[in-house]
Amino acid sequence: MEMIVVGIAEGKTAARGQALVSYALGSCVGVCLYESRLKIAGMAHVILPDQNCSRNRENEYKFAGEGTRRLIQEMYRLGGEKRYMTAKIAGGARMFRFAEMGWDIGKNNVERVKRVLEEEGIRLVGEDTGKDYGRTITFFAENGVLEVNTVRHAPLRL
Amino acid sequence: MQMGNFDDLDEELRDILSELGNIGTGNAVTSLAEMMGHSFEIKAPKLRFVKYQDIFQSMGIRDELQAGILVDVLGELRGMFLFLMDESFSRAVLEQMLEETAEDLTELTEMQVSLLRELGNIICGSYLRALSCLTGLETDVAVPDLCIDMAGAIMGVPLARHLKVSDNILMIENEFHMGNQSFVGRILFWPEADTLSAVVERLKG
Repeated sequence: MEMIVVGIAEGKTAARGQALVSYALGSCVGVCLYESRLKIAGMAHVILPDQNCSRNRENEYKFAGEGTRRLIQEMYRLGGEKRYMTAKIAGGARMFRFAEMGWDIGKNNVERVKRVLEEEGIRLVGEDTGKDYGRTITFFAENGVLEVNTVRHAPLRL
Repeated sequence: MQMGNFDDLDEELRDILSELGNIGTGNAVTSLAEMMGHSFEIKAPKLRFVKYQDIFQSMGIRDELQAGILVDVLGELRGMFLFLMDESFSRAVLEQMLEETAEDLTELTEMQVSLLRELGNIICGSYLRALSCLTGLETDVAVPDLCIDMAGAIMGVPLARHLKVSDNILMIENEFHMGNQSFVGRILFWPEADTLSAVVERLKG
């Protein structure tokens, strides 16, 4: 199995025999799209809710809203069709209890991703978000399974 | 000098910041050594100035378990302060100070948690006192917050906050070790841009 690492503020796609992996998502969100007919997978590792949160707006994959939209476009570009496409998301935790200064960025990220999925008509079929721990995620192009690993809990398969 | 984006960082400023990191860490580690009755070795400071995408790779961290204590620094000298300890270091600290073994860092008692938080508070306090003394800028710290989890997930919090302002990350990093064992603790200070201007003004004269 070929593993493709999706770093922070990156978006990548994978085909059969490949898996996408994002390490240590805290308040970041891993957006995963799957096209079941072509068996292609896409993953974006987004950090901030939307472009209004940042002075530098260059990279769409930095943002939950714009990054999710961009990833959907990438899936279409590869021949994916909406009716075969589903989404799974993980991350968006609140890592620190006090020090986030009233800005629950993880929650905002998750909400933003969900809103775009809804607007674009992509079904959300799996989710492990929020709470207070980090997640490493692996998404398999073969079957669209999303594996979530943490330091505290048993691995989860979505 | 245009510093809003941290784009322009000249040699002289680099030297000043490294030196501040050194003095801050020296002071912090002295406090830690007194608390623990143990001496530490301090490595030369690293002034990291990287694009946000490269931060984890350049620090060599991913999803390994670490303890991080994050403190907001307020006042004339502003920024975020993060004290990051690897698993063995955290465990050694707890054993040394409480004389009890912490097998699993993810299952600490209230007592152990508050000890680690207090440790972060003391380290941050002495680091900043040194900087404050040197620059004449006043600082104040918020309540320290502890997170024991994947290093990358801990770092993501100050990173996300910093990204609101700039894609370039300026971080003063000091690493230290305990005895001949390779326990690694890191002190990271992420100064805000206007704080930098103030520091330069004071120190360049």
